[in-house]
Parts: sequence; C-alpha cells; structure tokens
Amino acid sequence: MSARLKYSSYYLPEIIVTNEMIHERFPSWPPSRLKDLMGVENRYYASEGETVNDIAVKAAEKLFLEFPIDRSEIDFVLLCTQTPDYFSPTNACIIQDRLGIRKNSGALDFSHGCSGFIYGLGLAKSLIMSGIAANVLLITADTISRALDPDDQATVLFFGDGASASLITKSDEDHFYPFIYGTDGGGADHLTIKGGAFADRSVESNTSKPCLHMNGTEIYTFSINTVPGLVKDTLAKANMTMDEIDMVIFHQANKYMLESLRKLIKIPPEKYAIYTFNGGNTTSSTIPIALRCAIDEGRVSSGSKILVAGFGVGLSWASSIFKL
Amino acid sequence: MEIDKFIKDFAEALELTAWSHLKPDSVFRDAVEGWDSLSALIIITMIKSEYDVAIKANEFIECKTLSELFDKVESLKNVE
Repeated sequence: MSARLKYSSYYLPEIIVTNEMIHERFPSWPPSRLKDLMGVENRYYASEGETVNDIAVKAAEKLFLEFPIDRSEIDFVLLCTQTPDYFSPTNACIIQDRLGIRKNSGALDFSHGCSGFIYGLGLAKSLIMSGIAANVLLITADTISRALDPDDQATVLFFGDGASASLITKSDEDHFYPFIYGTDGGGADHLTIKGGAFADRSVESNTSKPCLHMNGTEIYTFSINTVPGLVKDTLAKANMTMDEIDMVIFHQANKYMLESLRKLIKIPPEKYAIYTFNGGNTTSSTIPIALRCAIDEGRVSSGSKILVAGFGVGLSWASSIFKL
Repeated sequence: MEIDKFIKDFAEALELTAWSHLKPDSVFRDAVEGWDSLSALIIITMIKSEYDVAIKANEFIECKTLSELFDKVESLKNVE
C-alpha cells in the first residue's frame, strides 16, 4: 500500500492588516522595510465570531470545490491546531459533521505549529500504509491573531490567521520519501502560548486571554543552527542530492530568516519558495500555502519532487520529500 | 583563526563602512552605531556560515566584547 498528497487548498480570512497599519503602531517598521526585509505585505485576521473550526471548514469546502473529490470517500479527518475552539470534544469531530463526512471515519486533533503540516503528512501516510484509512483529509488551522499582544512587535509584525486543507490518498506508487522528526522541549519557553489551559486555573489566568510569547532571537538561532543539518539528513535518508529536488519549501516564518537559510544551505533561488507576502506567518499553514502558490505559478507540477521542512514551536522540527 | 579576521567578518556582515575603531576589547553593542536585534541575528548567521559554529542565543547574549565573542566561537569550534 502506498500514499500520495493529491490536492491542497487554503483559506485566508477577510480582515486585512496592512503594512501601513503595522507601521502606525510600530514607527521603526515602515511598510517598505516590512515588505523588503521581512517579506510580509498583508496579514489576514479572522473576523469577530469566526473561529478555527470555521476557517478549517472553509478551507476544506474550497478544496472540495476546486478538485474532483467525493467527500463520501474520506474516512479520516486530521486537524492540526494550537488555537482550538474547544478542549473537548475533539474539534475534528465537529468538522466531520459540518463537512458531511461519513460517520464511519476517524477524527483526530493534534497540536503542533511550524512543523504541524509535516506531522500531518506523516500521520496520514501511516494511516494509509497501515490500512486504517484510504482517504485522509488533513486540515491545518490557527486563529493566532486572538493570542497576539497588540504591543508585541516580535509577533504582531509577522503572524496572521489561515487554514489549509489537503487530501492524502492511497496510491499505486508511494510518493513519500522518508520523514525526519526532531524535538527539544528544553526550548519550549521560547515560543509558547501562555495561559488559558489547565496548568493554571487561577482567577488571573482565567480572566486574561491566552498570549503568544516568542523570543525571536532564540527561535531564529535555533532555526539557523538546525535546518542546514536537517536538510542534509533528509537528502541522505532519501538517498538523493539537492540537484534532484525541484522545490524546497520551508516553514514561511519570515523572508529574512528564509533568505539566511537559503544562503547557508546554498539553495538556488529558482528552486526555493518564499511566499511570506501571502498572509505572513500562518503557523502550520505556511507550507501548504506556499506549495499551492508554487503550483499556481507553474513552478512545480505533477511529478515534481518537493523537500519540505518545518521548525519552531516545541521546539520541534520535521522534514520530508514527496513527489507531487 | 585570528581575531583580526573575525573582526573583519563581523564588520562585513553588518556592512559597516568604517570599522577601524573596532578592537578586541570593544563592547560591540555600543561600538556599532544603530545596533539592534537584527544585528544580533546577522552576526549569529555569520558565525554559522563562516565558522560553522552553532552559537546559542543565550551564549551570544552573554558576550560583551569582540574578544569574548571570538573566544566563545573558538571554544565551540574546538568542542565540535
């Protein structure tokens, strides 16, 4: 039994936060600097009352609209989010119902950010290869704007809301090369949403909103020091060289970091994805958004070999290579 | 590895036009005009690309002078 990533779509919500709006709040960041250095133009925020489950459903409905998919054949729903609507029930159950996915299907939430899409691909592949499922709907979605401190330059500059939906199916030929996963929970405090969960049920925690905290220098340094080796190991495990890769898609944190990584690893610009301008850092959705942008621009097509790597919150990193 | 080359790499990474005032005992955050958080990222990247040394953010923050930073890079290089 083999698996492939067949289709992918994404949804960005409707409230637009422009570079001009960011500049008003942070005078040292003129729009040109945000665009040229950080590669961000607009961020998109979910509108009032619009939740992760809403944008997840919208991304999936878009997928069903854009591609010839029979939703009655989907037999597993995976939702990757770190800003869930509910602690309980599993949000993927609600999504199953709202999408009209059949009842004899599995539904599972999992919590990851920057490496989440690759966790989802690995889970979907495993479910298919083990015979548990044949058609897996993988959704990534976060309304990270709800966890932003409006005065925190380290996060407000880059982050926005977004969701992606992908279909991973059983196939004759395996399109996935090996996966690599890595974890260093010792760095957990460098990127975390503080408050709102069960570790602290004090009145103070219950009345203040959960807040994203990022130590940008730590996360940048971790990425610069981790990703070059990760790429090398991923190629070695697949017994491939960079010459055989058609496109490298990293987690789209910001253009500055992506350019630093590209130069360090010596990846030619023509086979390197930078799509930060399209919604900024949408956590686990940046890789599928960038993939779809590269497909839409004709930079990759059926048969292209894509190297993907996600790295950040956890600390966590994950990578793989797959054939479109 | 020489500290003179390290200071040159440091200045070139930041694209400084004048850097003859940078000495081993210079406190670099004060000596570099307009030093900000991005400057730190640029130097951390230079250390990885030129010296293949993975300095941690907290190790970098602890270094005050150029010679302290140079010594830290040297010691990490020797460990590797």
